[in-house]
Amino acid sequence: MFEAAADGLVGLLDPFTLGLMVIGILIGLVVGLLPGLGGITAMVLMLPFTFDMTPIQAFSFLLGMFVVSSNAGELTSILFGVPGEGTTAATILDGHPMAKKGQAGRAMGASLASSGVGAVVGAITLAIALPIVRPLVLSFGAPELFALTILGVTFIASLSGGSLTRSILMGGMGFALATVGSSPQTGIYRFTFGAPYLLEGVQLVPVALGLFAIPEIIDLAVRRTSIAQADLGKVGGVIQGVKDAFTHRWLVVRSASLSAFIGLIPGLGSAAAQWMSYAHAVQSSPRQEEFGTGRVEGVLAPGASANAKEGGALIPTVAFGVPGSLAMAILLGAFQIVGLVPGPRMLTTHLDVTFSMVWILVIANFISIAFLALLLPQLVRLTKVKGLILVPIILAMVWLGAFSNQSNFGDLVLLAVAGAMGYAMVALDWPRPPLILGLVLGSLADKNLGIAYQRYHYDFFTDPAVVVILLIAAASLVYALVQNKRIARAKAGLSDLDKRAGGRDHA
Amino acid sequence: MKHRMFAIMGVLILGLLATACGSDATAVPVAAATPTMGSVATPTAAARIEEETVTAPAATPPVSVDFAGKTIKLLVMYSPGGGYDAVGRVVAAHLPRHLPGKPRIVVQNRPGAGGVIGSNYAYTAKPDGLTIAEFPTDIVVTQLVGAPGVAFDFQKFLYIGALQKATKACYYRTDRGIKTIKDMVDSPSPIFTGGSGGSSDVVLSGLLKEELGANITQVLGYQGTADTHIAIESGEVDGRCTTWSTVPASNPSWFETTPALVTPVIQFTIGGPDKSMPDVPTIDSFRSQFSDKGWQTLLATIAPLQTYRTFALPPGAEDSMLAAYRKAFEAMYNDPEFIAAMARANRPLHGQNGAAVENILVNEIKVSQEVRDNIIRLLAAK
Repeated sequence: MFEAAADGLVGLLDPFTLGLMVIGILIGLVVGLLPGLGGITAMVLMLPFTFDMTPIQAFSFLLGMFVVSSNAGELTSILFGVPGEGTTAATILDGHPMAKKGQAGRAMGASLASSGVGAVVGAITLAIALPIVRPLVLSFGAPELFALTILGVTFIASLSGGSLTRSILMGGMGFALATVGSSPQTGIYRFTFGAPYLLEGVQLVPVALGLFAIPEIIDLAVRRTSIAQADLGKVGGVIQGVKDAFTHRWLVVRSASLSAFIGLIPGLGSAAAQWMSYAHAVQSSPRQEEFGTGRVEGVLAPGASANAKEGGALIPTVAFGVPGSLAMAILLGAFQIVGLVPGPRMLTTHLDVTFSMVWILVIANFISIAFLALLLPQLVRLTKVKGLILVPIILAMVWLGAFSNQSNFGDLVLLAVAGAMGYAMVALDWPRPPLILGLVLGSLADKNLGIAYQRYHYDFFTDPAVVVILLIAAASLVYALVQNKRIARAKAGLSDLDKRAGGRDHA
Repeated sequence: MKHRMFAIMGVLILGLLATACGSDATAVPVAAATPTMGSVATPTAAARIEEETVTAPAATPPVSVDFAGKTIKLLVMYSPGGGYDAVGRVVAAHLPRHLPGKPRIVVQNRPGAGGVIGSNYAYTAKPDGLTIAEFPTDIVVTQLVGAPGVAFDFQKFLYIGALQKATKACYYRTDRGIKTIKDMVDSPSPIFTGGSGGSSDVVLSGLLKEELGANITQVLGYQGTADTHIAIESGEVDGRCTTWSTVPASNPSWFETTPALVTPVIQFTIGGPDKSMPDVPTIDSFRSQFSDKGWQTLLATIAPLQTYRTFALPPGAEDSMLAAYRKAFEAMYNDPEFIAAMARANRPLHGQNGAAVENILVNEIKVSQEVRDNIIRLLAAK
């Protein structure tokens, strides 16, 4: 195995391959820094260029592009409160309030540092998991996956920010929205009201952009100031942010490992990974009541998750051909173009190619962090630019980002609806993360419960693995309930800190 | 400094707008080209008759069709990364060489509603030859059962040609001990057959159960091939019915052991077995056990599969345009470079020319209300 790891690295250290990676990184940098547009768009546009590349060259090019755009997407989340990609909104919750407080530099430094550590931890997790990954994945059937989604649902309680009832209602609403579209079991259309757009279900990207980005844009326009309301001078503590990552190193490591694991289980999907990491940061902090007002841990956990989850998602993609994320689905397209078949051979005969992908994730991550670090001082300046100048540009980007989801005008309507809802939710202090997590987990629960019931009826509830996972879920819920009571009490005493995620001071 | 940042942002945004609105950008040459097309097109009645009487594409397209400097949009109705997308991109790379004027072809993904959204779009696209579509075969059944949102008629598209043939088969884990249809009927425990809800594979399993009495229990909800194959490998389900060629292509390791992990039990072809399964019984050897309605349902479900990976022009395109595309398609089909690219992508070629595709999709498929109702009922897998 060490030989394959070395071979994978040697195959990568070819000037032409590294050159392609840098070109990919530069393309990803441009696209990734535009709020609302993510690496997926860039990868789709660039896929045809991989036709004449060797597998390792193609993966260097595409993965390099993706890694930098996901790092850059974290930065735009912090700067503008706009998710870099629909699925990476968790960073906004604390990152953007930090930017408002004039700590954009610190938040971005923390994000980049944790992302670097996350990529390495993700890669190590993968290298350890490779020999056992097929038996591990094959042991997760529909019943276990259903139980895992239920465990994920209990995280909603930690994302409530104090009001458990509202949180549960929003999570339920996310679940309900997830049932729109064709039933996975019968193909029968549910709640589509004759609108062809709804046949595919409620799309995550426009909903996340609408819920999180639109309220920020309105806020910025109404406030008539720059994003940063306080000026902490100079670069705003990038170095401090990097230090934060090392102060909270175990949080970063735990978030990265958790995300790599979530990405690794096919069908669980890495969209949930960032939220789970964020929820974990909240759960494990002694000062939960301050989350959403600009705690640096709220930036570190999703930052560590960003690339670690893709490292995890790489595994089901190469070992089974089941893409763990959108980016991996496009990578699967590249597999077909270069003539590789995902499957057990990727873990035996082609193990060097698989290892080179792990290396690419690590190396591309460090190159991209270096590029972005150079840009940080300029990016921090953006938070001091007058809001009225930024608003039209960000708004246009957000609409483009939503439209690039499916190139369907329905995406724009959904963005507007979600935007109005997001604004109302912020104004009335309803939590938004549970809705997103409900939407992500709802369709997984729907699919896996259906399969488990058809195959085993209710017998699957006696499966030992299912019982264990559900017990953990119950424990996690009880813990969250106790914590919530504590937060509510703390909040009553700290009402002046009650500025929710992306919350507005006049709300 | 601030001003420079804005300038940079501005340039980036403009560049991005141009890329993101690829569809509009390509629309510019379309508008410019229309007068030329209009003035030359309107082929004579004689040309039309020639087109109709000759089954093969017309020998030489009129010189009028010239794509020099143009960009053609190839619509793929599924997301990037799938089989349709992969084949579409190979075609986009190799078809231009054979078209007059060597245009550029760009793939545009229009996913949604199992191909309905993209097909609606293709159906109403300007028939100027600058938009072609990779036709999603499942759409035939979707239209027949009157799925919501269908605003096209597959029998009105103009077919350029098909690249593959898809033979469906039902295959089961070898260690489950099912080798024949008789084993399936006699099995004391249910044979768990995985699949995706609403796909035509569900109809085939349903017919085996209802018409032949196979002891099948369908387990549906898997998302596509790879997802179902994990369930087969882990033993969550016993097998599946779907296009056979994807099975060895996506799971070569299943066939490296003796015996192989799965064994095909029945193949859904009419008139002789598929080249890759010479010894597997064909469904027409069970013709006598089928009810008339059941057999017609089967035919409606499997006929479109004879034209897998079909490419089409929107209705209303000029005959000369269709002829030019059909000719280029045939030339591409025989081009060693294209053949090599398809082989590299694990997509064995077994194509048909445009006239043959048209014959199957437009002339052969005729469906009664009774058959439609039966398909709808079987799709719901009740």
